[in-house]
Amino acid sequence: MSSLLRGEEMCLAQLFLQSGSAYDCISELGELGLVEFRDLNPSVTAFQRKHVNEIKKCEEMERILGYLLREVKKADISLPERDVNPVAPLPKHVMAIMEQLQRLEVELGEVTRNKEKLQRNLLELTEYTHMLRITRKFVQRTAEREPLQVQYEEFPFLEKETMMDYSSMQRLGAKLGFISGLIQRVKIEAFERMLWRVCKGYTILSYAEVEEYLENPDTGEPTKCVVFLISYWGDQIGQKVKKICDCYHCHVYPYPSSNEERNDVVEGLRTRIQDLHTVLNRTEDYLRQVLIKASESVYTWVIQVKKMKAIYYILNLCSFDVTNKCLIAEVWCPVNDIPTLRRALEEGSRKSGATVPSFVNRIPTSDTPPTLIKTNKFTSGFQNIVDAYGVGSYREVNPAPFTIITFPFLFAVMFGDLGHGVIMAVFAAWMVLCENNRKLKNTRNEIWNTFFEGRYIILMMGLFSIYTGLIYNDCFSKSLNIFGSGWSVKAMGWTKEQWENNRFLTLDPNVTGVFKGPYPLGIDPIWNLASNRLTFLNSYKMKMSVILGIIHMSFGVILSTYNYLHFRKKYNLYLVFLPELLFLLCLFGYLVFMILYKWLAFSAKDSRHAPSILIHFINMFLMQGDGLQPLYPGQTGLQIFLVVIAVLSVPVLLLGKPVYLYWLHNGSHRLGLYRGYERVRRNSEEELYLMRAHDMEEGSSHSDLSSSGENPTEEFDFADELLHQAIHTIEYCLGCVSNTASYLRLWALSLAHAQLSEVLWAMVMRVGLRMDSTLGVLFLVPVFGLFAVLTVSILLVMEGLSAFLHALRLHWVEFQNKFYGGTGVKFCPFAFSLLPSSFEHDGLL
Amino acid sequence: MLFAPLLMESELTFNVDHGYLEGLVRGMKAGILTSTDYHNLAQCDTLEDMKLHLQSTDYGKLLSSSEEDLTVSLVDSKLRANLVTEFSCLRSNALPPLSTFLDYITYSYMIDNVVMLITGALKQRDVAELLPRCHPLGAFDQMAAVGIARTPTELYSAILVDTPLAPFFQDAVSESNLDEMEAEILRNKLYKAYIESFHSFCKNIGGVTADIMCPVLEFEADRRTFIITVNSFGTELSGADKSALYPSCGKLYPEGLRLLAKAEDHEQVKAVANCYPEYKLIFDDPEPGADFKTLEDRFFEQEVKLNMLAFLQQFHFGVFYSYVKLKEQESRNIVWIAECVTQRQKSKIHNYIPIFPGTH
Repeated sequence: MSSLLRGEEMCLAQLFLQSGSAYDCISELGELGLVEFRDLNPSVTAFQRKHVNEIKKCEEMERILGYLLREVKKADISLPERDVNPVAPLPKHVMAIMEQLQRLEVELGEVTRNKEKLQRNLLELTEYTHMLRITRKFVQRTAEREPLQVQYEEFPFLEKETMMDYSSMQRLGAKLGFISGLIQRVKIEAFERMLWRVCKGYTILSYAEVEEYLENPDTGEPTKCVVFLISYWGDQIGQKVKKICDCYHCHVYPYPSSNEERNDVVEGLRTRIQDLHTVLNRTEDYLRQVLIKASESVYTWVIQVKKMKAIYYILNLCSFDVTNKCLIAEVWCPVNDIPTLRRALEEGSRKSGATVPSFVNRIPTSDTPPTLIKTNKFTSGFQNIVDAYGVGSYREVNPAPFTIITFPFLFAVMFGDLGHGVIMAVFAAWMVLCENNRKLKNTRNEIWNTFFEGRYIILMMGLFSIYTGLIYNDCFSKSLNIFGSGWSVKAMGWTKEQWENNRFLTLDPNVTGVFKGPYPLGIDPIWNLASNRLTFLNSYKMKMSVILGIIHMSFGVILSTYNYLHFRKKYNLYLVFLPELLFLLCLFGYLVFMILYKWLAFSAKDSRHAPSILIHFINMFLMQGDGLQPLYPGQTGLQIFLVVIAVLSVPVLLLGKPVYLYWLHNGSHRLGLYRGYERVRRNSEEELYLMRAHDMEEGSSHSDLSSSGENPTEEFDFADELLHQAIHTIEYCLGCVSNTASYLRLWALSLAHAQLSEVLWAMVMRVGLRMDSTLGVLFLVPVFGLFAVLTVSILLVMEGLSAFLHALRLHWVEFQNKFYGGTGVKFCPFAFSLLPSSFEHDGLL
Repeated sequence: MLFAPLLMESELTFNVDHGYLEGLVRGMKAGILTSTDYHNLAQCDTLEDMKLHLQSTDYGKLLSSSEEDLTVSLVDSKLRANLVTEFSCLRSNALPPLSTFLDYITYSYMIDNVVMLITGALKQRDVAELLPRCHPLGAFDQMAAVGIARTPTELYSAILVDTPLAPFFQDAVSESNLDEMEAEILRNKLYKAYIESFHSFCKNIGGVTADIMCPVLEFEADRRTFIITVNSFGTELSGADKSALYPSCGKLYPEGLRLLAKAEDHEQVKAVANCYPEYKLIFDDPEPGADFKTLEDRFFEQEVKLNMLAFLQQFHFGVFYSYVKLKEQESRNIVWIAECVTQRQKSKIHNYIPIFPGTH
């Protein structure tokens, strides 16, 4: 508990690691995650450090692993992401892994290359067959026309001119060439245009689309292709045509000169395609086998390499001591964990079989240690709420343990509804029960993760909402009449006429039998029917908010004493804490007293004479109010006394601390040395000095390392101190007023929530319930659906978020600024468990 | 509300269409290497060290994902590929008129590619060998066919008429055979037409875009003018020929251009530059003892300065242009450092041109 309240006590320790066993020791520490390493060579750049080659090797392995993973994923083989946690491999085993990986890479590369080559081949052959099949149609078309032309040769038609020309050229024996091939469909138009422009019409282009989609070898996407056939005259033009074909990435295939040749080629192609298919299948099978074999151990390798890389990073932070043949590391470690640390080092030395053990040495330091607050799955959510504001300074009072109760409570004050609370609690309870479910835990959905991480907070918020819902007697804006109302209508003795003629009737508690005493728990359900329900609840909730706020803030001020006592600043107790508390209690504590007094002193009988607290409170400051009837005898005197105390505490708060410190430093040097921190520091300095002398005797060279954190003596600046205290005073005194007002948000949000749920009931649910006929039952189904959806989305999610936000603000600003500094540094231990655990996170994929 | 009347309508609605991309480009700009990065890079002893350093920057695993050994040309092509990926991401998300603006950026690379292919074809190089050396930002479908053309007219009418470069050919069409000189002239003519067109395009957009882009393009135009003049010493280009190549949208227009056309040696060029305060600095004699910088480097320095200004204002397209140019300069810097590292020329390693020297 004390660790949760203050955080762990930390110490700076030196680890002397024998160079032979350093790797194993650090691996051991990484598994435990106990210590935070400090960089002992900050001046050395990353690539000049000692183990940079090993890190490069790890990166090389990571690259190969990334390649493997991508291939495995491409082949659609599921990766076994098991719960194995292999330890970091020994340096001597690394070479074996490396070799294995490299062999795999070479093998895979070869097979994939082969496969790609085969696929490309296959594609070419298919393209060729398509081309032959389609160009045959072009030729057939010309062949069909040929007899026609012969038939009508005696009567040449004008439109046959080109055809005539073509055939006569052929007959003339002019060199007619053909180029045929495939081109992507998108490019055919531009291709045709350029052909026309460059060759000025000395070509004939015919083309037809291939019906099937062919795979693009570069991108792997299926694309539509077009088979074309260009007939041209002359070599020069042929050169140009070829160049243009190259330019448009056409796949050009030889064009058979005769029909027989064509048939031969087609036949040959068919057998080759079949052969290729079998070869390709075998290659794919083999590839799959290799990948399946690799995928079994790839997870282990990834983790091992990651751990190894992390260890070398840590080794780079250590300094190397040549004379002692050992590595020196400086770590922050919780004092309580030092035995575990020793054991881990022993274990590491034992594993590596080192003759000289590695050992730990605590060294004194004046540096501020990092803050570590150990949490479990329940407290971590609340600790995160506090840490989001600021990580606590070292050994400062941690608000988190109090937040566990106050946070859900303040939330519930704003969210008070039994029904909504039950839904929220059930949802959170489900998450808590299924928290070990991998599917829920490892999802990538950020919004879901937020809810899941805060499941215990939500559970507490739900439970407290049930409680406040019972107090408010609100369940989906309806009241529950569990114990029977304390009010009786019968006793009023209204006649039938009165019932019929009046929309509203007043129950008078002064009539005997009408009010039989308060409802046992919370608000009487009869208020749900009352027309002045809102007025009643507003007054109640407003006063409750102020009372809760003052208690919350006073608690914060009281918590500050723990800090003053722990940091040995006793003067703060009298010069800061006392005036602060007096100021708060004399003004606002008195307000709380008046509220409670009024509740207790006035009953239904004399409620007409109950005075307004507001007027009394204002008059207290104005020191007037003689005309008013006092609440109790001696009120004026007490009030004047309280105001005077409050006003007097302001100058004490403003001047007390700076003047006292000034006196301490200038007036009495002797006294100052005995006080607080200075004494502590002096002690540690002496120890440091002793230790350095000790080192010098041994002749070791690392003494300069531990002296890095030497403090310059503190300079006292009166003006500075005064300015800080003035700011603090102004902030605190104004803050008391504004923060008290700020707590009224409890009332406002609670009112808004109640009203929203009532509106939802009246506008949606009641419409469905009003239908009298049997159809109404059917009608009720969609109406209830709408009601449920709106309840969850608006009242639970939206309102819940807004109440959460306001509760957060009340804690961060109104509560924590009374005592919490939050200027610490979080303790980041070196732990393998903090390395990203899934494949996607580490950028390998 | 001091700035309220300054907000034009185009600024008010800018974010509707282009806000996302502007945010994106500003985010990418934050990844431009700082002087600390350069300082670290300059300390490296091998390319492997540089790779390690670049890993901690926005380049991340760009260099480490390759299997082959690192060479300077591999670094260069990787950096270029990186820029192209970023640019094509911007281009594919762009809406008009930003898409046109981005297209304009690519045209200059297209011109360079065309001229390179022509000179390559003149030297009887194979197209397949030339294509990988083309800048991928200026790639277009008809690229490989450029070598077919014998004259600029043929080039235009047969091959480039469908490309966006076609409008720039108005002045460049001639029947003379393409030789190397002619190709260079063609490049300058195309560039002149391109820069003038880009300038007027930016002017038409107006607003902050014009405010930012016009000075940058004017500087670019003037830089080309100076370079053409300096390079033309000792060739048979006449004054009239030269003035046909000068882009007319710069600050030098019209008086400076007329004087430059007549200039015949470096001193005369310097005399012209002296009339313009922004160029006077560039042509100033380097102080003895200071690092000697070539004229080109000085122009690059000035260009970087101008491009950095673009990021000081919001709601305009200039940031896209400037980002591409700055990133190009960064690639040049990295390649320079890599060259120095591999050739062990440590003394020259600091001759890169720092971008955003103020940021750390």
